[in-house]
Amino acid sequence: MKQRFKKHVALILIGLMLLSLIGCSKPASTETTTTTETAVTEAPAASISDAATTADSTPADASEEGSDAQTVYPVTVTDQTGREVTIEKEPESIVSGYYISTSLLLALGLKDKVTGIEAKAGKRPIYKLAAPEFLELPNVGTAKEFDLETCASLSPELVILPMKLKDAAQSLSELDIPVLLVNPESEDQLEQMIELVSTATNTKENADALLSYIDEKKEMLEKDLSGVDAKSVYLAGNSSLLSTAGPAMYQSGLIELAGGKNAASEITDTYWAEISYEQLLAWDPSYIILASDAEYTPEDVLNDENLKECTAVKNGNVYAIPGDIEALDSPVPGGILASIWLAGILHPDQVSADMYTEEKAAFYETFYGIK
Amino acid sequence: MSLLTISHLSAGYGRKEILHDISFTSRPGTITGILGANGCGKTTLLKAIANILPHKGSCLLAENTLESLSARELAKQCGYIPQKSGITIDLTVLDVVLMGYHPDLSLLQPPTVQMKEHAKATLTMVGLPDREQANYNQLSEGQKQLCILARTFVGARKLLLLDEPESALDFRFRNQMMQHLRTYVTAHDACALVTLHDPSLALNTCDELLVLSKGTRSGKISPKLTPVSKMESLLSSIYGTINITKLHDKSGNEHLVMIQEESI
Amino acid sequence: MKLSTESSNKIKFALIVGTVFLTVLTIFSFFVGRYPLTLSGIISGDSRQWQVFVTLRASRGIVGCIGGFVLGVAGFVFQTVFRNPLASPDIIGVSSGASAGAAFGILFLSGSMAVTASAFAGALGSVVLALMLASLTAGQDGRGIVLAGIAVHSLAQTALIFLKLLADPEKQLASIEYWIMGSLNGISLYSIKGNVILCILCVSALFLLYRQIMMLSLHDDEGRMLGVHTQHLRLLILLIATLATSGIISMTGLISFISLLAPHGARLIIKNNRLSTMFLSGIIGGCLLTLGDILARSVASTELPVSIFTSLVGAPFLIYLCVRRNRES
Repeated sequence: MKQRFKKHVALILIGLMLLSLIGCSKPASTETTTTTETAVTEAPAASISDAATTADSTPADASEEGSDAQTVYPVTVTDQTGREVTIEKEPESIVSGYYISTSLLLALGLKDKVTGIEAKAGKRPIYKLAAPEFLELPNVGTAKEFDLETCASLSPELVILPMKLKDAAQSLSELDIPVLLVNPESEDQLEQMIELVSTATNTKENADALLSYIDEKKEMLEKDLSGVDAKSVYLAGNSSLLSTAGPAMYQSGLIELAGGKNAASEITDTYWAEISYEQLLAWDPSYIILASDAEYTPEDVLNDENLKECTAVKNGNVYAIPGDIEALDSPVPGGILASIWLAGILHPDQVSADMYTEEKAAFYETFYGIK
Repeated sequence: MSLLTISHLSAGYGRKEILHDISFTSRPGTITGILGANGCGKTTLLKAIANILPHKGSCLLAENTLESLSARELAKQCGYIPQKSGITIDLTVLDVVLMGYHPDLSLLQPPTVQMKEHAKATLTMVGLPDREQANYNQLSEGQKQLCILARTFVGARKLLLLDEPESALDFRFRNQMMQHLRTYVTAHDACALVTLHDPSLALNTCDELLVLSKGTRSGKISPKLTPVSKMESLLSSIYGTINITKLHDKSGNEHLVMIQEESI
Repeated sequence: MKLSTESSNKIKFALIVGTVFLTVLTIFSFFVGRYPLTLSGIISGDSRQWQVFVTLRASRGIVGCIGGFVLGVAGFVFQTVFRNPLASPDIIGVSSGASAGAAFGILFLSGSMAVTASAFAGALGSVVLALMLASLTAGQDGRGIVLAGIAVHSLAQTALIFLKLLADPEKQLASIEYWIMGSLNGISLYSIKGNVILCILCVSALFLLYRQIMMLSLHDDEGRMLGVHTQHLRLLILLIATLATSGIISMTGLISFISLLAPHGARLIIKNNRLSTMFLSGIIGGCLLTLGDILARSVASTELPVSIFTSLVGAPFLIYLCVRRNRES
């Protein structure tokens, strides 16, 4: 929400600036836009890299050098918004208010310690498959409507919340409940989050396994796809076909890793951006892929009269990112699987389509115990 | 032979009855003034006849029962000037006057050229020449009344109901306005009901005066015929002790003047 | 007499300049957009360019022009009928009804056509409800309608909040918010035909009924004594104006300021309310929306809500007109 708000403020400012520039030539105005929006995006990015530096210097990290390192409590970590959080002892009850961190807790083998999760858990198949008991857990609301009281009443020893819930984190800290704010919006931030949470929960061993799996698959994709022509891919968001992810977003990295090129590379927004049919036709992507939770289907896109001249539609190259276990287009621990899936579609000669099926089964069995 | 026959009319707002059992008649070509103290029901009487207010009793114009007519048919028979016209948006004077033709036009029909010419002529007649493109709202209150008078005249209705049409006019225009009204009723064989504030004006320009007191009819005066003493006693019931004197202007015409007696 | 010819010449001048400007602006808007179109490409029959031009670019330009015209005229009608310079179709719950309808469509129906239909139904439904409530209260001089409108407006707002609460924040909520912000994005030949025809019919009807609209500017008693069936006529005219407005905003989402501003602009240029004032309201509305949409589609790398620009363009315009009028008098 906050990010959207920021975006709107930026837009209004841009609008005002442009109004005063109406007489100016078009290139000049485009330049203005870019500078302003970059300025907006840079702010959070900077604070995160700060956080990373700080995290490196925490005492906890000193012991990280050994691969089977144990966290020594009390431990002080710096979360992804730069807050310093001290955890006195290994947390035995954890609340997660964000589906991505909940998924991570599962992957780190902490499912027995989770005592509360985010609302609307019923619509995420991964809980049914990996931890049916989660569906019975008390819910602490959504990022929109966080339920502070329920959360506090569970007296958790650790709470993990998305960055949007900064205010709730503040309130919980005042109740002496340690809160980690996470912000997995890029591949790096995802890995940073994995390290952060594993340090706080003394599960670094599992984290290392997870991280090395991700690295291994990444390297494999890079190797297999070296030298191929990047295919132009348009990623359509959950809310509508005409909302898309710019290069600053996690989803853009997912496409690149799979040997694709984000068609929306000129977008400077850091959130889902609205574009027009014309823009989509001008980009003319070879592939259109839909976000996992999209309300519309590839058939809807293929039947869209406005797109009948688009290469992707003409060639029938419209696919939805799998979401049968979890939404793989979001920065969940298994997000790398989406790249493997997409690589199988974009470059079937280099990466076989079966590879995704096999890797998916292996990954979820290893880390989530789903058979 | 009377044109307008009002019988046993009672009316009011909500449950409160303001007018009780009023009956009177008016002949064609006459002006009937309605006199009465503030709040005695003058406006209520006009509104009841105009069928804006629900009422008991009946109003007969020629052979038509006014109550049985639709708004449109009624408007073809009867023109009405409210105390204050409710025009709040900016309109040209000509457009305001042309509204007087509304009942004669069908839903989508615009006013004809003849109507426009006649409207302009009527504006000139009432004393607003060359103002047809002016903004109605920027006229003085008196000019507005003249404009609304012109709107009422263009329709050529059989019955005119005028609620204090002279209130914002100065001395000269008051008399002029009553002359225009006289010309109109004579030309159209119409009858006019006028509530007036100024009893002297009423005594000298109306054919008959209906005197209302607390919602009942307390009498009728024909200024030309009724003896002065009877007029005095009737009007005293409204205005306090008064004295009516006959004066002659320089050309020898008789005028009635009403003056207030010092109260003891 | 001299004075009247002078003012009628001025009116003619304003109408001609306005119409020409709107036409030029609309044609100009045909050449602003994301897809690289060239005149020669369109004429030579490059199938893709032709398709983009006809189904997207021209359709959007025409909706901008007609939509703004409709909103301007509807604003004029509402301000006249309610004798209130601040009235606009929102006063009887058109926009809140449309928002709730659109939210319902986004949540429970699929496809953009369904959302348009649902928004249309919402707008019309809330207005019909408001008019029905008003006829029960039999308020004088349209005050009943305003009160009923406020009641229906709050009801629709409550429904909207409830629907937003149900919505998934990642997808549906974003769609609802974006819809409410209003945009001409997503308009294409395939989605507009019905709405555009409806709007043209309704606006033509309003122009034919101009004299009746003026009669409604009188107090009810006065109007009735001039033979106006005030209650019925008011319902009829409000319904037509609402139909036209709903036809537009069900396609575009809410567009602020035009209904309010365009009639004021027209009245500042043409001093009195005339048929030409109503027409000029439409012209100004059309210019505002077309200009706003040109900016909304070209300023940033993404599509922006058009209301930002209609307000940003509109407010200084109104101030300019007020200042100019002040100086003249």
